[in-house]
Amino acid sequence: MWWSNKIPELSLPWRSGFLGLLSCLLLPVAGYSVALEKAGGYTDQQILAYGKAIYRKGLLPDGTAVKASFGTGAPVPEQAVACANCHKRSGLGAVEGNLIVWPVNAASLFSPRRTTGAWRASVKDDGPGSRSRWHLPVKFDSQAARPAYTQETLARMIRTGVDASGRHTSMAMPRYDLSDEHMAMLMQYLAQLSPDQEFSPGVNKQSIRFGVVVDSRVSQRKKEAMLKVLKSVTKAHNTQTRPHIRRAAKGPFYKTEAYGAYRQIELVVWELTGEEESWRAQLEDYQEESPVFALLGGISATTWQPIHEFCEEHEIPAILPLTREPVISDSDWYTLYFSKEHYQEGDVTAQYLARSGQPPAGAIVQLYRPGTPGENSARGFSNRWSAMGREQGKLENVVLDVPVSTLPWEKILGDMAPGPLLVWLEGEDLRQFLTVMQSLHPGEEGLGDIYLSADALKATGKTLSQKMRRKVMLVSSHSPQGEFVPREQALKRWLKVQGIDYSEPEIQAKMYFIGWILPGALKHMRGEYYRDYFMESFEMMGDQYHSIASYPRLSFSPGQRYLAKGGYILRLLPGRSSGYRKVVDWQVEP
Amino acid sequence: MTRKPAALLWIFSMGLQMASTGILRAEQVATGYSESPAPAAENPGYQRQLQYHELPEVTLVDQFGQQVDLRQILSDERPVMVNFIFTSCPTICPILTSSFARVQKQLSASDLQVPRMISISIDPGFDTPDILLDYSRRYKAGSDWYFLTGRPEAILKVQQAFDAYRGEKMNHVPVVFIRGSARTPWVRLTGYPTVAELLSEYQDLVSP
Repeated sequence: MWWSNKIPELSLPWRSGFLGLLSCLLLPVAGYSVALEKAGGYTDQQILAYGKAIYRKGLLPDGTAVKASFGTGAPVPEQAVACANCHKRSGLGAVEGNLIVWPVNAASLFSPRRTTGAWRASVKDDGPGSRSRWHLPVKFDSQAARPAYTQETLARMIRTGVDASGRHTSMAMPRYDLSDEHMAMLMQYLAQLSPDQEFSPGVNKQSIRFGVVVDSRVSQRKKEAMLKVLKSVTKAHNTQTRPHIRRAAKGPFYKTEAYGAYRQIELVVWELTGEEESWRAQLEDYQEESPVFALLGGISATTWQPIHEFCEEHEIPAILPLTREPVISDSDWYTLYFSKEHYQEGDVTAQYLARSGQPPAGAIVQLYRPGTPGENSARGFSNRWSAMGREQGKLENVVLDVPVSTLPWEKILGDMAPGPLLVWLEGEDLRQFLTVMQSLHPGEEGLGDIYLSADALKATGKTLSQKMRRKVMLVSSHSPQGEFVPREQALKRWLKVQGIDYSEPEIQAKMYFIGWILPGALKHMRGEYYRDYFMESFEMMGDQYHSIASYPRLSFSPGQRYLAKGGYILRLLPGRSSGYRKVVDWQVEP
Repeated sequence: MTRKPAALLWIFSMGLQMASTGILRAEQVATGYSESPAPAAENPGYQRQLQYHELPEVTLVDQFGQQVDLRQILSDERPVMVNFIFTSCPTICPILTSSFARVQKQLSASDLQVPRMISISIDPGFDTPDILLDYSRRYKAGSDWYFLTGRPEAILKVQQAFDAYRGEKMNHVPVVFIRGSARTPWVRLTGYPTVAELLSEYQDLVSP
């Protein structure tokens, strides 16, 4: 019978070695067991930490990179050597093109793999004597594609690419040069990775709980706009409960896994009050009181940093919060943002100026006040400008520490002329700047373009003079309203059916988008409710166009945490209207 | 009576077309694994086809921000190797790029002509020139290796021309295209040829 292969096949010498090893750590897991030799001289905690570093970062305990080569003979670069690159943090694998990256958690490695690989009962529900109805009919009975790994065969596979059945794995599977000690560390880590049926907190057999973080300073109107859409999406999902339970219990066996994976969605609102410094403690309390599987949406009036850091430390996914101040990081993992927002505005401006043919004749001056979102815009500009190899000498940062109106504007404009002026200001600072500029005749020849954030200008409520209109370029990290009318119409119709007023277009469009992609992410998990696997579900998604009204396109990719990759730069047209011409239409022209 | 020659002509022309698209000339190459014996049927190997591709008139941008006319850099008599990559790809692209780097290095130390290498990003929204430059440095790419990006519509056209478009970037397949000169067909290698096999394929083309 196929289930008889579930006991790891051990060669005799290895089996006798097992019995004699006093330092063995026995990991009893329902349905399978495997004895792994511990790396000597380390605590369990150290072993797991080192194993984790090898698995996730491809780094050995001394901080050097693991050496490996592909089956093709080419060396694996350091950035691609970590196991998690392909097998993912969850260890549950992935699919890329026609390449299947198999799971490497203990339940998968230390059990035989079926021929199809498509249907897999829980290990504890499987095999003889089980009271469940997981057995495949005899006609589907088949030999395992490979027997369960032992420590010996797994080490051989990692080093040579030959699996437990003696077959060669894909050429894409690196052949690792790992010492016995490092191999033991890696295996200990794999043995506890995504443990079978021991799901992440926030999930039980009936439901999966998501938290929605709400900053109490956000207006009631905005909070409601966000929550109503999320609740409506949740309600629609939860109405499927009865049919799914029935299908799981009585449907055909090959559908059991899919229907059995269904969970109701439970939303809990985590309202944060007081100073931002106190948010972290509030989040810890909420999580202790009622743990969530992940955060969904959420809204902050200012920064998302305390929530970002909380999620990073606890490895809790946060899916697409509404914030104009996301944390910008190339390496953080657990928060998926719509956009880099202000940073993106600076970034797209740098790309435009760097690629717009001739370099600016004068210096580029960027103006911002530290501690404001404009600092992110300036950072976005500087980083991209520098990455594109432009001379730093031509970029001058004016960091404000006094009121805008007190600056020596005549001198600043004289020194920079005719270079572009990037004004990453908002609120009162921006109002003062506009007043000063209008009095300085900016329409005159010799003065470069003035770049402003479109959102910041809109928030001031100020109207630009004709002279200013000739000089101003508006930068935006999202689409102007009305850019995608059919998408907005679709959203409006959906809201109408749900009985929700169309009150906050951007907020509602973004929450609707979450409702659009969430079912796919949940389905992708196939009942393997691990937080890391949830994050990985999004990485596998295709580009999204029609389901989001705020951006032309949102794209996903492994490791990418900001879905919007472009921006707009708008040249205002003469006249009193709000007319503009798109100088940059999402992606900067080559 | 008048139909018979027409039918024969049609069959003949179809034969020519099939031959030119590689259908008749496709050949499986069984790739051995040298380290230890493995059943040949279980070795993934790679597929080899000869193909002609009508390239679109597109201007792309290289890793230095310079505009590049794709047809122009493919039109001279130099041998060329092409692949499609994206920098955040964790699985397929590292192996393709690493193989290219190894091939370039080994050929540079040989008497053979070093081919022009072209890696075209299929994630142009993210893969800006500076990101590609950083990527090329990570793989120690030598000179005359273009890492190209561009407008999404241009990238799509190029992928379609090479029959390398699979809808989404995460659906992409490992393909390498090699050509001895602009006058010869492309050799399309699908799968994971070893570095030695890539060198052998290349050598067959440039020194038949």
